[in-house]
Amino acid sequence: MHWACILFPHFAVDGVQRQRPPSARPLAMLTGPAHRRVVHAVNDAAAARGLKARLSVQAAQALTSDCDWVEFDASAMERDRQLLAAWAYGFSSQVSLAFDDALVLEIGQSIALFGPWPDFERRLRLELDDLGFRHRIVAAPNAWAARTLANVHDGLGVDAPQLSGAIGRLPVAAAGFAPDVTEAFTRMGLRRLNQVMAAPREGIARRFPPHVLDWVDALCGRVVPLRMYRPPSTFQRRMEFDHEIELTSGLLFPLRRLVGDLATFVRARDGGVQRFQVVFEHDRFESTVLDVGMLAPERDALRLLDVACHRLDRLTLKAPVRAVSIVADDLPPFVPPSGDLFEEHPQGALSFDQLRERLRARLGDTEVHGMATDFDHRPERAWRRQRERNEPLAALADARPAWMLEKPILFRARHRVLFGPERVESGWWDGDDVRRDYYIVETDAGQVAWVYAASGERGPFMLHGFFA
Amino acid sequence: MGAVVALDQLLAERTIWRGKAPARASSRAQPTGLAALDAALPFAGWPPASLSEVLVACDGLGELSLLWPTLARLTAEGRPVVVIGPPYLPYAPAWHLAGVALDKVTVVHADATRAMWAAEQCLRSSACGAVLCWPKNPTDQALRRLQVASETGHALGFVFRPERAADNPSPAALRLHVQAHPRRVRVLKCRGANPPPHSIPMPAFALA
Amino acid sequence: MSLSGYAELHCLSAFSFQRGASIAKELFHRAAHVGYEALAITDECSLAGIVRAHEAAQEMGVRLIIGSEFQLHDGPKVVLLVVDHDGYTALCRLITVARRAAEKGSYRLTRADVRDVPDGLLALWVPAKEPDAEHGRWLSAVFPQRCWLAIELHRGIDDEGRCRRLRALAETLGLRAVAAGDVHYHVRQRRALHDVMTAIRHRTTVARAGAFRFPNAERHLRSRRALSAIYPADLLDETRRIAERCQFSLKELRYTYPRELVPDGHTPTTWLRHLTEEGARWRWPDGPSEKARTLIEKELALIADLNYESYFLTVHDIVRFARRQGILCQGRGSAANSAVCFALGVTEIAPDLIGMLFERFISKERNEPPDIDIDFEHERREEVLQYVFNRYGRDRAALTCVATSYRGRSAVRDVAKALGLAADQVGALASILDAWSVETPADALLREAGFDPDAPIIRRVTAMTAELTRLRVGRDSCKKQPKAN
Repeated sequence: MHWACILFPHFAVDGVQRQRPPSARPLAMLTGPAHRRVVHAVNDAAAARGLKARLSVQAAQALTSDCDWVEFDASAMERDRQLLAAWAYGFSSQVSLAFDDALVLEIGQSIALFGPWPDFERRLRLELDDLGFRHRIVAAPNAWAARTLANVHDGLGVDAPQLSGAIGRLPVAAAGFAPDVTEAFTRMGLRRLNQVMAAPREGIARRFPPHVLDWVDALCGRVVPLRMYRPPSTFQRRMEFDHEIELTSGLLFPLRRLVGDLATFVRARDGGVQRFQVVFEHDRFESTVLDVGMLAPERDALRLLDVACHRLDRLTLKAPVRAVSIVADDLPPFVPPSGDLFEEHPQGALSFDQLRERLRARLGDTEVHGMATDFDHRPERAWRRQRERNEPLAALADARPAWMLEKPILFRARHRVLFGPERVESGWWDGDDVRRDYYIVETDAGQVAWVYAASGERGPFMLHGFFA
Repeated sequence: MGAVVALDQLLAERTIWRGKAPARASSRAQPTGLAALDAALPFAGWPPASLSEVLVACDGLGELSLLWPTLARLTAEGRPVVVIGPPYLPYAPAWHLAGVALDKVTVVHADATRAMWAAEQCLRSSACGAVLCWPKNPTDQALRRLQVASETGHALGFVFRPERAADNPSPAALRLHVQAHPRRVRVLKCRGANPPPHSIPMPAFALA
Repeated sequence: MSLSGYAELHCLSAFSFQRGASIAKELFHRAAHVGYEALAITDECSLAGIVRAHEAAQEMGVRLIIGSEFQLHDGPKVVLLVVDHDGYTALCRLITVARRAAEKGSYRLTRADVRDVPDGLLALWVPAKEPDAEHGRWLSAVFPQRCWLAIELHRGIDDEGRCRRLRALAETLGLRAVAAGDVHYHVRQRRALHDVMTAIRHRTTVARAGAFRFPNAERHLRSRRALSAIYPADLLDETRRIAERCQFSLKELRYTYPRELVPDGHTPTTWLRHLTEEGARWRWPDGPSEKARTLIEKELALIADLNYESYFLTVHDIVRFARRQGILCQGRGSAANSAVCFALGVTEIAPDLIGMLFERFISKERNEPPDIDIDFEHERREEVLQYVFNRYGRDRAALTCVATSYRGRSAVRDVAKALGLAADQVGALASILDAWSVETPADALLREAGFDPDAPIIRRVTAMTAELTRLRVGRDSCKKQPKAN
């Protein structure tokens, strides 16, 4: 087993449904020009009411009025294919989208990383469930065999010795030939593939286009180059809604899906994302753009969502939302959070950057800050809020209080002077010249306070800090 | 063969790094900066991985100076310290002069509810060396959560409260009461030992 | 209340390049105003300012004490004060040694240099923030019975404590303590200009120069009332006792020119005449014009009258050396435009051809020594220096730094930079300065260049530039002169 095929039997419908909150409502996708609209695909609920592909829209509407009609969007499907390829790329460096409705990936090398095939397969299925795509998985010695076997099998794993047997048993109708080819084989009395393979090659070559024989050869293992998927360096996904979403809470589900896709994407690249934008589109207004930035690259879907949601909480949208998209242009390589080599983190442990991210997301950027000293004699400017970590500078003075009042207040407490005055005269150059005499005083309550008066005066005093 | 030294001996002397330090916070004492107080406490300082309460009559009695040595050491080791909902701006020059590595200090401003949430997040995360907070009228349950979070995250939790809270019991492992006239600190509770019967004098304010 | 008398013993003038922010005249004016008994001008490793200081002191009636501040390379910061002529000579020697030991514009004085200082020099030890008692011990050993610990308080949070600790230290070391001001400018209002100078000196902006700026404006000549509030009376009284001892005046100085330039049998006067006549025959092979002849006679008479023969002989000697070596040289300056200089080969311009007014050469009334600048070919300047050193001896020749004034253009450039203007703005301001008289900045010119003359930053730039220009402090330029022995 060197190749796995993952077939998506309900690709189009899953692609739509995964973007919607879970619902039992019938859903049908329509396609075709306005005068000849037909059903392209339906979900289970719609199928239960008799809707099926190729039904005309009138016929379908006649069957049920209670159904969500969704326009089939080929580009959306292509985006889903790209997403799934990106996801699969996380498991294998050889992924191909050469087949419609399916992707194939080389697994021979990946098994060393992801464990024996049954475990590997289980993991693939779990993640696909999370992504919201129903699937069938088959493993075989080559990509064509896997793809073809997936037409009728799910969970099959075939090694080289059993390959010809497994292929041979396939009905011709399930071999992936074009309908006219299948029909021709059937008329010739060839119902299973082993019969086709046993037939004289010259005869087949004469009756059929060359690709038919190529196909058969490929199934049997003749190496045919596949076009391999290459992951793009940016991520962009968009979800459009049928109805305008008016409540922030209504955005949660789409956001979760988009962020999840983003995480899938960056994880597959073995990278992370440090900055991305969530764009909310409105009908009559310019889009609202929410910038989400983190201190370090991140790729965990839950943490990304955590950050995005906290940001969303603080956002006021100017209008209902028609569509939402996520754009990530800047995808740095992923650096796992560092820790001591043998350090054990208890459950739920976070790196400090993650923790700070969480705090910032919930409380707001300005509410979470570092601090550093600054070279200015004016006390209120001798420090800085820091967003990023920085080396501290040397302090200028000896006696400074642990606490500072952001806005000094009149100091009325009874006190005695312990030290001072310390004269500060500075700042003429920026129009904020300060001329003060600072004193350290002890109040009757025993507090040691930092107060100042105008230079040369002994009062009134302003309270500027406490030595705690 | 003088170069051969028993591995046990090296380990005992801590001259080599074992990688996995035994229970990080408890591995070393976290002195309060007041030798007499340390002598009276079972851990020779702040109880590791626990919540400590500092009750003050008012701000500016030297209550932070009890924490300086510990904060200086933690930050020097690269462990972050988070200051949540402080009553005033923590003034960087002073903290720097006290030996605290400022690049390891994060200040969080939040209302009462969010401050408790933030404190718990920080303590629980295991990413912090110490977390200082000033909750407003915290419930017993809220303090208990902080105590549990301190244990979970192996962090030192400090809660500063007004002295009237002394009358109510608290789940904190250590409770100190800082008093003025003269400056002294009284141990109200310390887990693992009986509080010393007398209060411990604190030095009067002096310039560094 | 009677205030203690006071003499300021530690004060920089604008000749401490980009450190002192007031000129001698301002300092002495202020010292007189606040009733100081004396004022020491102690520019850092320099005596460049003492002539101006001497004049200002005479004018204002406040006695000048000559001194200099040094930061020893391997020792303390000290202020040396001159008591008498010996002390002055010793101080000159120290400055020469220190300047010679370092790159142009800086100095290097070591403990080894400060040996065998005569009694005529007093020392003030200016201890660092954390005083090093060893510094004090060493200094008091070098200056036995004439070393003080200077206590300089500038309204720090714990002046009282520092004063107490320093007094205790002085007592331990057996030193007397004295108050001093570490003065950098005459009045509090000069703080802004000093901040600008500090920024320029450290090649940064005022806003970023925090680490170098002073926290307040206390380093000015404070009133005696203010000083009394800071220092105990005995520390103030000690300043007067020290000032009393420093009675040296520049009036005692007389320049003695090198004697070896004059051959036996000649006096400087006859020898200069001899050389001039010789030169005249070379310059005017057909004999000098009537006008030139008159000039020469008039000049020689004046030179003799003012005793400047040796000066001209020295200049002639150096120029002759340069010409013999084929080193290009060119005399300039007002004195160079003289018939005697032309005849001696110092200058190339025949004075009778340009109608030079003799009085611009040297003037009896102004009582100023003559000034002849000679530019030497840059690449070969060192040869000339070596010649001078060898001929006159290292101990009798010195390199002097001449303080030139800040021209408007460079001043505005530096000020604008220090106040944080962008490079293109700095250039624009400098370029409109040609037409701009600093005293009355032309708003129209500023507007034309895109500046708002009423913007606070522009007002600061123009005001500071004006102040800086008035200081007449500037960049070093090198000049060679034989020096008094």
